[in-house]
Amino acid sequence: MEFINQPVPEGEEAPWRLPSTRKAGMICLILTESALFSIFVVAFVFYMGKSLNPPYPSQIMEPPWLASASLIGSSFTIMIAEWFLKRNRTFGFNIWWIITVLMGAYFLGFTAYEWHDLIY
Amino acid sequence: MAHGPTTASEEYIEVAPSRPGQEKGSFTRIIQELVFTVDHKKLGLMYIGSGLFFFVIAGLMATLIRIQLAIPNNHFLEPDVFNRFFTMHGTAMVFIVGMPIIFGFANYLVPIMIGARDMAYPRMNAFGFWMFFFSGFLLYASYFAGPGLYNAGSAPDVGWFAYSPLTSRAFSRGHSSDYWTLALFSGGIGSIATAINLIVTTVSLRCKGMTLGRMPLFVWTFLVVAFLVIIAMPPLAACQIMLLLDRYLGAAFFDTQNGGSAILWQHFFWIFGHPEVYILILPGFAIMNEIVPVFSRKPIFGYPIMVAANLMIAFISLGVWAHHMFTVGMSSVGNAFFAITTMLVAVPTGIKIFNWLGTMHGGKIRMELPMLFCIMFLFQFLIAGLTGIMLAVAPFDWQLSDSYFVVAHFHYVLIGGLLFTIFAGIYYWYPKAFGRMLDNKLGHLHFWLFTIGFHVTFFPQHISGFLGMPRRYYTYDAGRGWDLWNMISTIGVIFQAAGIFFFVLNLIWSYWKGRKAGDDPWDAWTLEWATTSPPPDYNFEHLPVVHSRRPLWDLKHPDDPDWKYE
Amino acid sequence: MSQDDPHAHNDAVDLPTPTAWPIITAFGLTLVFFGLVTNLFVSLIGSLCALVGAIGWFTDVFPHPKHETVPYVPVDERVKEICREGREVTHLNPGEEGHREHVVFGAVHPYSAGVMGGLAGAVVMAIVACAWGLLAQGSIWLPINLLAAVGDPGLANASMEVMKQFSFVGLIVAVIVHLTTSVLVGLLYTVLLPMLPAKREWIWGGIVTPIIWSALIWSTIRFISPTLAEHVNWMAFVASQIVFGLVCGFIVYRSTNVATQQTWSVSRRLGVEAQRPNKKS
Repeated sequence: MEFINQPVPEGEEAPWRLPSTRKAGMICLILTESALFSIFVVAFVFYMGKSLNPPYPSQIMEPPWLASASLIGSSFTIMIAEWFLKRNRTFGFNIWWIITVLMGAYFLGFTAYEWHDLIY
Repeated sequence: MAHGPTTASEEYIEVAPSRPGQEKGSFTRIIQELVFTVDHKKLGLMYIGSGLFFFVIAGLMATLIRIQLAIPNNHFLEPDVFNRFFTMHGTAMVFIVGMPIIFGFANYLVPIMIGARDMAYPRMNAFGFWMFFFSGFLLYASYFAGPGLYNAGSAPDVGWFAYSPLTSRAFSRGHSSDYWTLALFSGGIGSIATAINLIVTTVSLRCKGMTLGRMPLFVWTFLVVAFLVIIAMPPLAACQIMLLLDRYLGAAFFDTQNGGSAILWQHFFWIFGHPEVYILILPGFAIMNEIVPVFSRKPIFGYPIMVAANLMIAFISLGVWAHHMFTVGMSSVGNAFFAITTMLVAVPTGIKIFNWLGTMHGGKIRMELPMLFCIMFLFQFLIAGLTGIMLAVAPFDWQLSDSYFVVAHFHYVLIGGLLFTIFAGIYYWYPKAFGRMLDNKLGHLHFWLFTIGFHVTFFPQHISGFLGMPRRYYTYDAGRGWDLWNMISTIGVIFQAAGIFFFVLNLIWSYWKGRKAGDDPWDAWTLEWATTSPPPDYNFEHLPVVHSRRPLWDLKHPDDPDWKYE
Repeated sequence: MSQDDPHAHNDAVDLPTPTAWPIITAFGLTLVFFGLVTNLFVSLIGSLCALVGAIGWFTDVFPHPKHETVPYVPVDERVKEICREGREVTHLNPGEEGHREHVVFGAVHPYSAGVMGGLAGAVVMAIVACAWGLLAQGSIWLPINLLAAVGDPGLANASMEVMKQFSFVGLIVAVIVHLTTSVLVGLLYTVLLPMLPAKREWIWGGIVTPIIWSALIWSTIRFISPTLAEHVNWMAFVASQIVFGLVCGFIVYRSTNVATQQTWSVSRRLGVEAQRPNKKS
């Protein structure tokens, strides 16, 4: 097929650029995640203050400050790690990357502990 | 992998290694290729093939359901078997027949239509397919596995939307509902993976010159479908997780005995469930958008408006879910809101119907099989749309909700709408995929038998619905005026089954004996016809460059290309 | 070409290497779910399987996705040249034989004329109706309350004596109903009248149409407003409708025609290539 030799309209010689697959994929993944969690959030809001019998949430649950901080903080540390990676400084990258992994692991572990503790 | 003699003399070319078991033409080679492949075309065909396989199983279940309902006071099936059949029929048709077939079309066609060599994430594409494939078997495994071995089958029997409290542990013993939950959950993972892949492919891999305004409408529609999938499938997954928590970890999201709300399940399910309907029907529109112009020998009428209508449908469909719930006793404001949004959907849908008519008007229509199916689609989908508008009127719905009228309505949408366009698409693209035309005589037999059977089966259900026959009833007493309509309905199934038989026969027969198709049998205009039939693994030797919505028109008519007018 | 297409060599192209890791991962994940409903050991095996699959997959794409080079198929199996012989484009010109001619639709009245006509018609209609009430029934309020009964259940069930009394709510409801309906009918006139036969237009707009919709109202009124159906005098009713039709129709006819999208060419209206322009110039 001679796609190359066909007559071409004016002004079609501009370089052809498209969004990167990584960015597009990541945006889609984030959309998916937010759709998933929005349902959980709606269910949570729907049931706030509707417990029929004690113990009520406020009596047995405490805000997980440390776990939340490590979850939210890990998004900043991974950004720092990425900054090092882009400049080819692997040592800095490794340090910050491991910090991120540790923070994530702490959050997951704490969540598991919380579930176990609340159910049994 | 292609092993043709290569004319290349350069040293740096390292030819794909041959793997053990890959002797050409052997059975092991075929199996190995299917298991190892990351090629979008093979995966697309595998999607469609396995979708058709599950279609035949779920269709047989429907046949048994119809036999059970043919005469009053029938005891052909046991009541619990009946419940399992209608549940499995609905679940299978939506999740492991409809979804994979549309994804199969998207997988096969979207990359070729936008002039790409593969999907953006080829391995994830394979992963998505296998997740769906195994989820189908996980669903059917409920018949055999676990307690099923001891008490002869424990398939889900809670209906395809599994309303609470039917799913609570008190009413659904054993693991049958869990099979439903887990199969849908794992299949959902595959669907989301494929949808993300589709979006990224469409956004990032278009060939040179393929601007958004020049993308084939097929690709546009599937972009919208994929977007709906990533918005609507995660809520279903969230529902399934909450349901599992309810059943096994003592949560009470949907358990009314413990302060939960059964209505919440309905809301959550339909927040997924209604966009799902559009996920299923929009691909039908996508296929229409390709076939109608080619067989009318005219460009599609109102391209920008068609795109806008797609976006409108997607947007509105996210805000209509509670029209499935008019009978639960919402406030009149809620009823009015959802009735109005539901009627609004008719606007973009009507635009589409008129644009297809506008495309056909004044065109040189060729009555080939794909076009026949598309024309029947127009009639049937119109009926489906009109009964849909009737059901959108809340007081009308109070009378007919959960009656056979609703059953007739959504079978007109999903069979008369979706399945007919799937058939049209298969007749249209089979030559591309296998290099041979489907047989015309067998095709006409299929078309007429199936069309007649479809109407004979489902039109009487409108009437039995009006006469008050509720859906999902195991059997009924004589003398309520339902006998005749049910009998007619069952007779129609015979025609449908015969039609499907000829269809499957045609698929197999034409694979070996069909007329050779050539590169471009329909004289079409989109890029998939700019390569061989079947296309090589890499789709195009040189990536195409396009300047208009109909790149092949430009090539065929260099003196009068389309881009002068766009 | 090669700058645009980094995966293509002269006679071959890079494609992703076929791999079984996705199927292994998917199978493992499914086994995890299957184990939940059978035996947790199945889940254990499944998660091992999925883990192996995921790690294998990772090695496939890290640091760079694996490719293998696939040679092009032999030349005689490649795509054929497109046939351009005998393909001529004949353009479709507006009004050509064999196709529908686009008739420019001349008389379109502005909506403002419809609103004005509806309001004017409403006034004369009200005068006729009230005159009937005063002369035949002895109360100017009767027709007003009858009309208001459509939206006010209190009036709908009232006796004839009460109906003849002044009612503030009745007045408000009747005015709203009367004005909205009149304006809507006036708007309908702007669209409808150009479609009726051009000669004797006053007969159509002023008499025939009111009689048609009077018949329509006569057959349906007992569902909409039973009270009105019971007490209405059809002679007076039709007379008031005809007065409305004459006045409203007259005002709409008097209005000047306006250019709308309807008078544009099809392609201009849609902004698409419905019909191609003639390139004789």
